[in-house]
Parts: sequence; structure tokens; C-alpha cells
Amino acid sequence: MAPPNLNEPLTLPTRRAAWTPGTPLAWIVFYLVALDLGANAFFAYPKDPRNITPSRLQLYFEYGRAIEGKLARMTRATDEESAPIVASGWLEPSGSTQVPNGAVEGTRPVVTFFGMSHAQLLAHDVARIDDTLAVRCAAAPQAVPTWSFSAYLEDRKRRHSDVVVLTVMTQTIPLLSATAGGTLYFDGAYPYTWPRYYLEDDTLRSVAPPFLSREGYRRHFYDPMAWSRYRDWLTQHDKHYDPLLFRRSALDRSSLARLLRRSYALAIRATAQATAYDPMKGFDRTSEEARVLEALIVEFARLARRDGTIPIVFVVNNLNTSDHAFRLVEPTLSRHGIARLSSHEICPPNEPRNYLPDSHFQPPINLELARAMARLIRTSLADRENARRSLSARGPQSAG
Amino acid sequence: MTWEAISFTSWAFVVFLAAVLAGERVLPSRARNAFLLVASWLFYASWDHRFVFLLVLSSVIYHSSGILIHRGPLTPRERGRASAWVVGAAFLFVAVPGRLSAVARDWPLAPPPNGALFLAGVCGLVLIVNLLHSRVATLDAPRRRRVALWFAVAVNLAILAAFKYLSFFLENVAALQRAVGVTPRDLHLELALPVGISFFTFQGMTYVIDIHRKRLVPTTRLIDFALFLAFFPVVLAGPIERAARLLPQLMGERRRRPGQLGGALGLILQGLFKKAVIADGVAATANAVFGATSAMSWIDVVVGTLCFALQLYCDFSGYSDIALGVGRLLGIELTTNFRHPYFARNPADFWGRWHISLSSWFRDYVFFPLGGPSGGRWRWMRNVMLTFLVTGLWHGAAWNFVLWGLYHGALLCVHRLQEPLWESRPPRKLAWAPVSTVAFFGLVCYGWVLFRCQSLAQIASVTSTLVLDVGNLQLTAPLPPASSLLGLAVLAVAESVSHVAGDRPLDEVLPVPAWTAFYAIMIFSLILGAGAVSPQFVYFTF
Repeated sequence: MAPPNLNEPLTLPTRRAAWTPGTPLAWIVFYLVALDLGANAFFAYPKDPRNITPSRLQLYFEYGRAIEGKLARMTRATDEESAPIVASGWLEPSGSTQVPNGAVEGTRPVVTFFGMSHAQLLAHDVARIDDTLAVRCAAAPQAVPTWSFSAYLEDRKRRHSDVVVLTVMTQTIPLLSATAGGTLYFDGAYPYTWPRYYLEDDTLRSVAPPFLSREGYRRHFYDPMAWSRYRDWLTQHDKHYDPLLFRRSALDRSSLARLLRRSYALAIRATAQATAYDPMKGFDRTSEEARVLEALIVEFARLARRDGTIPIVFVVNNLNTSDHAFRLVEPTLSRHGIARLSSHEICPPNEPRNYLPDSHFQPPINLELARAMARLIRTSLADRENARRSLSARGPQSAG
Repeated sequence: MTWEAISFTSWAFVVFLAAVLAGERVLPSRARNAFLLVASWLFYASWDHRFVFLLVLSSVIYHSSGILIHRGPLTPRERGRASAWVVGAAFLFVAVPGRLSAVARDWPLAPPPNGALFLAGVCGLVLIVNLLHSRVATLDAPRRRRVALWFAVAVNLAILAAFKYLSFFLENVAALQRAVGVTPRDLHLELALPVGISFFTFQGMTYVIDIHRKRLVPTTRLIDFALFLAFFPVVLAGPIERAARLLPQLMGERRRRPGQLGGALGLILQGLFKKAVIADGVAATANAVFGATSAMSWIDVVVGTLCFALQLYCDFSGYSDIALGVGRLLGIELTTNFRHPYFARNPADFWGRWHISLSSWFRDYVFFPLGGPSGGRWRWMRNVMLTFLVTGLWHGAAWNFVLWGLYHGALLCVHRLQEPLWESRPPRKLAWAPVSTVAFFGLVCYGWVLFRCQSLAQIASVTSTLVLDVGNLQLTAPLPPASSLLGLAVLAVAESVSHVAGDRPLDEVLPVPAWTAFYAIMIFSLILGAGAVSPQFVYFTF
């Protein structure tokens, strides 16, 4: 057989006969509509907002509902009728509550934790292992550092703490320009709100949303004009507000459209995170989020010290994020002499078995972190006491 | 300036493909290949713009050598054109600051990167090659053909070796030195691996070797050959196309047939489904098991290995399906790379189904030149082991790949040795088929353990868990998401139906309402798992 000459035109190799798209396309559309209707019928989300245990599939098909749709599903006229999550995370009234451990406030040093559920779990374990400390905690689901800082500001207006612990977590740092649980976490869409922080000429400035309490939320939510104004405020101040994800529409009726919206939300979230964080390289120190976080930590320490309170920063390094969060805040903490505990020192972030599937630490790891935190708190209190003693001891001498 | 890699699973690719298809449609046929070549280079540049130079260099070397082997000396015009391509690509390579320095890092022996020096070096080499050409042209035909072939193969293999194997070689020399008590010099070399280099190097070799074997007459059109090497559906991860198959299609009139669009879209959907729904879904489990820093239980290792076997197959065959679909949209029929490999009953069967374009490449260009099956059983076994050793090394410069290759070679040898036993007492086919499929799948999975582990110590640890920890059912690894499990069930049924019907596609085997149901479920699963698709494919690293 002669070799093929590539300089001469050659006949194409035989191809398998392929199908024409018309009829198959109609069948595919038919099946997709059937699947859509089937998913809506078999995995309908429970109508009662008090039902907090939907099946995984019910939850999965519901993730993509617009934020307003989710809020409508969970909110009723009173807290008793609404989903429990509606009451979570509000800054007003101040949310810090004591973790019961037998210690009586006023007779024991008061330690207050601010942050997300990781901070709450740590506070509970600290209270459990050390009854010489009166432990308080203010937490919100998925709380970003700006929420924690706002909660601290609210709390310090009302009560004095000997130690305050601000929690910073890798996953939430890139999202600290959000101002609402809905824009922060699309799948869950919590209604609580907090102010937006800007850095202007190296000065931290905040702009509060129209409401910071659940009463204010209900007033706005059930008043179309007020809610529209809130949306305008979000457009202006919330970096993660997206009308396609936020506003209710006819698409919410289709399970497939909801799934597509959720995938869009994930893509948007990934893009938003990528502006401040690269999973390989870590945080971009020049990003707005990194700069605001630095200013926020400095301000947190300054205010705490002015109140005679010891500031501590607890750094949560999420699974597979190395010690990026720690490396971001470490220079600021060192420069300002702020005590800190970083989870990576006890729990390597590349070890999946240290973490639960919901991103929390395994209970034994959490306990170990609590021991380290309790040690750090006791040492910091002892140092402060020693400093006071030496100051008072020196006082009469210098006066004499 | 930041570049976004155009992945088959990205929206950027949809836009890119739409632009390519539109360009193909409106341009006159003479300009189409030039247009496709530029598009292919841009596609490659989006992944790693530094190494488009290598792609151009390889194209020129293979193409010029092809002419030299077949016809004799290149005309001055041909030489001028080849030289201009290389110098032009080198100029582009150094034109953007930072390109050169990013290629090699941490090498104390290397001179500081200097664009002008690099450009001068390339010009010098081009001049030397032009001078050598005059000498080679005067040789008698057999010697000229041999020299040109060896030049093309050796230079391209040297480039491949420098980027892929030099670090491995230096590390092992250093380890050897340490073993005999000599402190090695710090020769650590961290070279960036050009994406797809193993694929386009091997693809180009088919061209010169087939011309040398007088099975192919070369093309005089450099643009067409450069397109053959850089053709964007295959440049990153294959299939490794033969010149005799792909080049005539690229050079001929691309005729589109009714129904071709549907077939192409079906393949793309199937590929996306495998990649996004299954491969990416099970990857987390495999990564958790093989990336764990402490020992895992037996069930963890078993589940992790199964997940890796599925990840690798769905990732790579998914990529190949998309490549085939994209090729078909452009009127090009690419080589089928996978035929339900996990239904294989023995090693020979497996290698006729897994990464077919690579296994047939090694069969035709390594195994047969070594002597193939002739020369008796022991010589055959030697040739098999050598071929699989190279196959292992092709996948990466690490001992685990060498072990994986030798393991498969050994499986093939054992299979050959026990064949007479089966021939004398043939088992009943119906009962034996599923048993042999499952048993051989187990052996393949152990091969994937060798493939996936990152060190010999990890292989020893995982193997000891598999042998000594049998029955430990404490599962700590995360399980794949529900959408992946649904996808796996759909894939298993679809592949079983297709396999039973003689490995024919579903749309040829089933009536329209039945096979469209599979496609609808694929779309549904894709939407279920959408939003978390990784742009990377596993075989990009080979």
C-alpha cells in the first residue's frame, strides 16, 4: 500500500453516523421537565419554619432559592412562629451571654469571646475546663471579623470584661465586606446585619445598615418601601450583594433553576474570595479586606487597652488553608504586642481528621485549643497583675 | 497582566470555542488552518504562555526533519521560513518581562536570566543548524534519513528530558552520593513543566518515524504541521494523534454532516458529566486518604483507592470525550482513547481499552522496534517489561511511576505465562467473565495505589494497611457527595449497556427515548453538582 501523501487532498476517514438533534432534544427537554417537577414534588421544603430538620435532599434543592425567598420562608410575625435562626446574630440588643460553669461574674475575671460558632465552641470548652473564669460569648453563624468587632463595640458599651477574644477565620476574612447574613452565606441566608467598615486615609469608618435588630428587620421586611430602601443600601455598601441572588423571582419555582442559581452563587463567591485570597499563596495584603482587618485588629486592641481589658486574637485556620490567616495577621499582632492563639499551632490545617465535615474542630482538638486558650488567658491576667503590683510597689518609692 | 487558563470546563472555553467555530465558518478554506493555528497557540498560551516557544521549536524541527528524511535538502526558502519561525518565537518569548526567569528557579549553577543572551543563543543555534544542514544534505540517502530522524527525535526527547526528568536525575545522583558518604553539590533544579509536553513530543515523533518507515509522505506546509502539533483539543492531554490520521483531516476540506452537531454535543456532555459530576466529586475522598499525614484504616484505603480509580478514569476519559466532541464540531475525527477499561478481564484486554492512543504508541514505536513478540517467550517478556518501564516513566519522573509501569508489565507477563493453562481447561465463559473482571479490577486498583502515592514509604505504608489491617472498617475519610454517587450509578448502567452491546455507543444501542433519558439525567446531575468544577485535569501534569 502506498504511503499517504500529505500534499495531495485526501478523503476524510469514515465517521460514525451521528443522530439528528430534533427528536432527541424534545425527549431530553421532556425528561428534564419531568425531573424538575419530580424534585419539587418529592423534595419540597417543609412549610413550617419551626421545622429545622429537613432531609439533606430537601435542603439541597432549596439552597438556590433567592435570599428574599429564604427569608420569607423562615420569617413570621413573632420569634415563636419564625425559624430559630431568625433570632441569631443581631447586634442589638447586645448578644453576649454567660456560658454557665459555676463561676460567678464579679468574683471571677470575665472573658468574652466574639466570633462565629468556632468561637462559641471554644468558649464553652474554656468554661468547662476552667471554673476560675467567668466566660461570656457573643456569636453569630459564619460571623466575619467585622461582625465580631461590631459585637465587641456593642458589648463594651454595656459591661466590662477583663479579657476580650476576637476570632478571625480564614474562610470569612475575604467576605468581611458583606453586611448581612444573606449576602455573606447564600445557602443559609441568615437575616442578621452589621455595619460596613471602610478604611479612609488609614482611619476605620463604619456605615450602619438601616436596621441592626430583629424588630427592625421585621419592620423593613414587611414594608415593601422600606425593604426597597434596604436593597438600595445594600447596593451601595455591601460588596457581596447581587440582585440575581437576592431578589425573589419566578425562577424560584423551578428546582433546576434554583440549582443553577446556586452554582452561580458558588462561582460568585469563589470570585469574591479570589480577590483577597489565593489558596496556594495566601492573602493579598494589599486587598481591601486585608487592610480593613489589620486596622480593625489595631482598633480592637487600642480600645480594649483603654478600657483596662486584655485583647486576644484567636485565629481559626480552616482545613487545607495552611496557616494563611495566621500569616496575614501575625505581623500586626507582633507589632502591637497583642496576645494570640492560632489553631495551626495545635491542629495542622492539612490534616482532614482534625476537622468535622462542617468545618469545626474535632472535639478533642477543640478541647486542646481550649486548654491553650485558658493558659494564655491566665498568663495574660497574671502578667497584668504582676505589672500592676510592680507599678504600685514602685509608686511610693518614686513618690518618696 | 494576568491570564486565565482556558479550561474545557470554563465559560471562557465556551466563548473561545464559539469564536473559533465562527471564524472557521466565515474564513476561506486557505486561511482556516492559519486561523486555527493562532487560536491553538492562544489556547496553549492561556495555560502557559512561556512555552509556546517550545511548541514552535518542536514544530520546526519535526517538519524540517520530515522533509530531510523523505525528499532531501530543504530549499533556501524552506530553511529561511523555519529559521524565521524559531527566531520570531524566541523573540516573543523574551519580549514579555519575567518569562525567562520564571522557567528555571533555584538553580545556583544557572547564569542569571538574560533575554538578549537567550535570543543571541537561539540565533547562534539556528545558524549552526543551517550550516549542519548543508553537511547532512551531502550524505547518501540512507545516512541522511537516519541522521535527520535521530536529530528530530533526540532534540525533542532532550527537551522533554530536561524539563521532566533532570530534577529527578539530579535528586537521585545526590541521594546516591549521600549513600556513599559524599556531600552532593546543591544542584536542586526547579523547572516548570510545560503543560502537554509529553503529548506533543510523542505526537510529533509519529510524524518523523512514519516518514522514515516510508509509511507517510511529509507535508511541505509548515502551518499545517504546526497545527497538527498544537491543535487545541489535543495539545494539553491528548489523545496522542498519529500524523497519518490527523494531518490529512486538517489538510483536507472539513465536511460537516447532518447530525454531526448532535453527536459532538453528546460527547461533550458525556465528558463534562464524567469530569464535573464524578471525577471532581470523588477527588476529595481520594485526596483525603492519600494526602493524610497519619495512617488510615483499611476501609479508608480501600474507599480512597476506589475513588482514585474512578477519579482518574472519569477525569481523563471525560477530557478525551470533550476533546473528541470539540474535534467533531470542527469536522475532525480524533482517536478514541477509552473503551470501558474497567470491564477488562486481563492485562492485555485492559491496555486495549485504557489510554489507547498512548498504549498503541508504545506498542508501535517501542515494543515492536525492540523485537515485539518474536524471539521466544523470555525475549517477549523482556520487551514487555522495557516497554512498561518507559510507559511508567512517561507518566512522571518518580519511582512510584516506575513501579507502576513494572507492575503492569509483570501482570502482562504473568498473564502470558498462565495462558496455556486456561487454554487447556477453558472456564465456562458466562460464570468467568464477571469474576475475572472484578478480580482484574482489584489488581488495577492496586496499580493505582502505586500511581497515586507520593513516595516509596507511602506505598509501603498503604500496602501494609491493605494487607495487615484487613477488616478495620472505621471509616474516617469523607464520602463523595450525593450527586457524584447518583452520577456513578448512571455511568455504571450506561457503560454496562454499552459494553454488553460490544462497546458501541448508547445512541446506537438503545431507542431514542431510552438513551435520551441517560442524557437528561447527565444534564440533571451536572446541574446538581454545578458550581464546583475544577479547571484542572489530572493528566495535565504528565
